[in-house]
Amino acid sequence: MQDTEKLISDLKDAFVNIDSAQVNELLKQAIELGISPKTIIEKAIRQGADEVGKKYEACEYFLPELVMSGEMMKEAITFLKPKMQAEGITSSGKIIFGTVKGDLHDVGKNIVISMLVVAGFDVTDLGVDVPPEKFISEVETKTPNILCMSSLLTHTMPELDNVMEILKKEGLREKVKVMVGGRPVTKDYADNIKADSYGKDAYEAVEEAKRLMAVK
Amino acid sequence: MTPRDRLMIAAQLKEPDQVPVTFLRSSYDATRIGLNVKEYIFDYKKKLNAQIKLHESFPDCAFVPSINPDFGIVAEASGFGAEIIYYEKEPPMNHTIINEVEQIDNLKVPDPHTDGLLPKVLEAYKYLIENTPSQYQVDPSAIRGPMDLATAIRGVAPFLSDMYKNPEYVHKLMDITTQTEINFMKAMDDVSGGSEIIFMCDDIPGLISPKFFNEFALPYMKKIFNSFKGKVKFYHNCKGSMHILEPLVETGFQVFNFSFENNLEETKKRIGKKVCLMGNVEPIGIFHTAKPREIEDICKSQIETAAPEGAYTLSVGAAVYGPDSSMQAMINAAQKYGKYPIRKK
Repeated sequence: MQDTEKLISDLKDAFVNIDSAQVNELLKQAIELGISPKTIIEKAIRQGADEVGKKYEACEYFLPELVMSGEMMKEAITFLKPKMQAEGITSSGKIIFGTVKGDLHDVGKNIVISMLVVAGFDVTDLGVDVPPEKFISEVETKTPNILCMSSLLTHTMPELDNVMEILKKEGLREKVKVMVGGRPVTKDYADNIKADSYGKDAYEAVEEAKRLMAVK
Repeated sequence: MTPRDRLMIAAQLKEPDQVPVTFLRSSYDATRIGLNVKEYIFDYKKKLNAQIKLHESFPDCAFVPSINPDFGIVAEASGFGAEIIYYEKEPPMNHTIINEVEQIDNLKVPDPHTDGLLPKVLEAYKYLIENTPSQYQVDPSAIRGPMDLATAIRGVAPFLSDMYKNPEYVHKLMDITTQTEINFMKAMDDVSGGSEIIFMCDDIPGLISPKFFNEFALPYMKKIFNSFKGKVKFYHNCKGSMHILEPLVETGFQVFNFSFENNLEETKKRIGKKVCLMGNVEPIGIFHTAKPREIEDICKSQIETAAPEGAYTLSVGAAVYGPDSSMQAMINAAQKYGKYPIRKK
């Protein structure tokens, strides 16, 4: 028991210290010790990520640390996935995520995706500059629960509306929940284009995704 | 005294006759007269006319760069072969070119005379020098800072995580982007016979810790500024930079256009005797949307805070200007409240 607690504590510390090599090493040890993936994620990864977020807010950490935190989260989940499946831990929901056409920003999107993955979502990242046809074909073929779109430029925001219109036209709008976000996007704008949800930041996006999954 | 004279006196850390007003040039030149940005970029005659029209509309403020080739921020990235996306009303952007960090091993410094849009910039610069009426100053194009250029071709997130995972590649890429900017600037000097100013935009240093700034940014920025002794160096960073103010100044610029996120009073206190401050009215919530009266009041307060003892020009704390009414409000404020001598608050 003591070993488990120490290992989880060390793993969290390594995460907070952005020591990715140590995180990977301790993850292996944790599995060898028989610690459940759920415990590893909740007690080490998620808490470590929360602490990195707090340090960022306090200006002790900067964007490279936030980006690394996102990458370490994704790597940890990839490593733990087979074990999670073996233990019957199911996905919280399927999400398709991309930055709209004409927009090449991906830092915020990547951080949100990492946090969604840690929250148990199965996320497909379509990348940046995603044309509307791509969003539509992914919704058609992969049947996600949620479509997330981000726009970081005021002049690419109308693309969010454009995709919403095409979804409606193609008869897909009722089949998927839509969440939008990005620096210039507001709750009012999301309401105007009739998106189901708006995430102000990564934390809110995760809470909103959970809320959408509970909505029938 | 012309607005440019005022600016140059402030750049020498002195007091001109009144507080200068200085705007960063952007594609607003084109959009305010309904010109498509791509057309503005490639039609040099239309570009010159658009820039002159802005000067004619606002004879009481300076622009940096003044009349200049203005290809937005994609020229250097295009030199590496990056694909460019053009917009009707916004400056162009570029796709990244480095997917795997090892590709940096094969990256070559572009030749400004042959690669991407760089020769076009030189051609446009020559056209402007030959065709601009003599009452207007022609400046070289703004250059991207070495870290902005590195993220433009590598991607912001991969570059920032490289600082942890592949620091040796960060240095390798920074070496290449630094040399790219030096060569580009020198090629522009060959066209003009030597310019008065250099204007460099590098936002990414505002997003990294002081430790990473000292390791990955400072030596490279310093190398660029040191390569152009005798020029007045303008540095723009529209991210918050309170955490790196002193090391930033060590890089060797004379005029600092800084973010609205910076506290003006503290910025003045910490570095206001070493560099001329250019800023920092909030761009969107205030400059772009507030009423002219409110903008004048804010500018008055900024003058009271930063103008005493000179070394200050009113400006926006980002690469934004327009609408015209907001620009005029800032100019009015400088004329009403910015006559020297100005007493400390």
